[in-house]
Amino acid sequence: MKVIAPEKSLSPTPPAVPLEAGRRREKRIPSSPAYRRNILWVLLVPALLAEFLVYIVPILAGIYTSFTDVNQFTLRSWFTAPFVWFENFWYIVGTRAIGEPIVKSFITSVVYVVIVVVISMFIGTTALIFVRSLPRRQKFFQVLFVIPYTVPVYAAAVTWAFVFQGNGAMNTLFHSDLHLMKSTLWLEGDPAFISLVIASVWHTWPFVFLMMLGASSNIPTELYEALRVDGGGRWQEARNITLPFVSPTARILALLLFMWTFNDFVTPFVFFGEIPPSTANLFPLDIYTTTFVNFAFSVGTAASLLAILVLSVTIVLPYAKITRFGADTNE
Amino acid sequence: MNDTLLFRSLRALVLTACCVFVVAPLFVAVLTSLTPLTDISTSFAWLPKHLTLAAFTQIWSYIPFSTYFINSLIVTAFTVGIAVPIGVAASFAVSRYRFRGRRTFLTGVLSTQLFPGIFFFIPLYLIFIKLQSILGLQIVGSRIGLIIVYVSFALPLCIWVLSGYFAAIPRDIEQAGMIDGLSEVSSFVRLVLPSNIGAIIAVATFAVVLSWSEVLFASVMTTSQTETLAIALSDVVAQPTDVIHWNLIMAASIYASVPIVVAFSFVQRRFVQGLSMGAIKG
Repeated sequence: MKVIAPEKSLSPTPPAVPLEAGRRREKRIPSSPAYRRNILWVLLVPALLAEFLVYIVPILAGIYTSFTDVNQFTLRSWFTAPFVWFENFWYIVGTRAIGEPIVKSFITSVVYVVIVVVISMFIGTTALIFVRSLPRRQKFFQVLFVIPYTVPVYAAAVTWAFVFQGNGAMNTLFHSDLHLMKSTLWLEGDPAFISLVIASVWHTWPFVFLMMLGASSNIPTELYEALRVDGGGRWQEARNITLPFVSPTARILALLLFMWTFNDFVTPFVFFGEIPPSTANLFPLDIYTTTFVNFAFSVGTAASLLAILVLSVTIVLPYAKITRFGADTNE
Repeated sequence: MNDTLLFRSLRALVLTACCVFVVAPLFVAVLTSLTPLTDISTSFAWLPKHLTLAAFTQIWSYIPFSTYFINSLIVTAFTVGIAVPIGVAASFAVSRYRFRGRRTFLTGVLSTQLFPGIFFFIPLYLIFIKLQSILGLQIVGSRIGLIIVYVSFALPLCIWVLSGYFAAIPRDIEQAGMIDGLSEVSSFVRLVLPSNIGAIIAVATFAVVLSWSEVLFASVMTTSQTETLAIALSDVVAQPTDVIHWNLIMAASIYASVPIVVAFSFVQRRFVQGLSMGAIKG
């Protein structure tokens, strides 16, 4: 089916060459005259400066720190602390008392993040498909469902922490009101992990819904009409039109959510403070304790660096390769 | 389209479940903020016996809440005001020019998201202290420091969304402008940007949400004078009292959430439009 686009061009002469050919030709010319290069610099420098100051340089400094020995004694002379090469890394890998909790919290975190991202993607997409199919009141759900994304993370975490208190709403609902389960300590033991997942999904899925809403909002209605003429129902609509259309967004979104959720420190910190139950001892929290409670700064950064390397090699890079992320945005 | 009964009942079920999930904690928060403290210490009740607005007035004297509100407003406004133009400029460059290092730039910008805040916030803090002594300007503890940090945090998502969006805009409008004597940049700014304001609103919203709710960096980069709302919330939580003032905490949370939730509801339609066109594609 061909959608005929209205001629929007303002150019006085209609393009003689088809658009495809025009693009290809432009790309073959690598020359950029000096004045263009200057404009390019002016445009890019502010962004580069900001990213260098706040991300690149501190990250490099952090990497450097992981090769030095910064602890409570050398804290004052951060950048002149003794260079110890891979000692911190060997320390983490070689000392069971140190390495084991770190590895355990890393695994807990990965499991947690995968669960949160998968559930959030599922709820977000399902909600999108159903909301789009509504004959009316779409706006209502669009506004309502996005609220959790805009609520500040801290406020959301505090509210959920209150809900999960021993005398909180969760126990009132499922124990006293519905008699479905015993009174549970939601912030300890195994339930702590579930509580964390619930709070995190609550905050994450609306963002999925929102991004999907954006990605799906310019699906040509002709596609749906064509499908309807051919006798397709709602399921075919979702499977053959909506989902393929939003999937490029979904793929990239999943990766971003993975990194954001993995690095989210606020939710577990609000829930458990500095002493989390071992079932919900997430990686950022464990690093926080190592770094700021035990003052083992270098060990903390070394552990973070290891985690980032492991994540990049085992998850991010293969994922990016499979989904062809990073392929040019123009093509 | 006539939907089957099965589809309609499933839809009703799913959407109701989503609504309940979204609304339940909000309802708990509102209810708790309206409940007098003495009633909270017992078990949570869905229908409280007494309701009072006391917490909403009490909070203003409990901590210097208005100061924090103003701080948050200032920091957010400056973050958005600075991050968006920078992001637009960089995205324009990336989507309209081919240059060496273009891919590296885009990948690099996104890779920053891999690093957790705790990994680099001490080095950043120390760099700011160094800069402070070189420039003779207060950065740590001032709003400037926080604004710099948030601008940089907002940029990756800004650049990523906008460069995808701009790349999808056909160039003939700009070329027409250039034939009429405008420069490349000014024809983009004057002819293309005004009709694509949705995309700008979308990335501005990301920046607002980020700077309004960030906690980790705000906790080290501010003093009691320059604290933002998100930190103020943690102050209320951390107040040394024998009973936790959940009603005050919830009232503060609601105060902190309402402006941004309302503001977002207003621009929501534009926001979705802004995300629609070729934006965020792999």
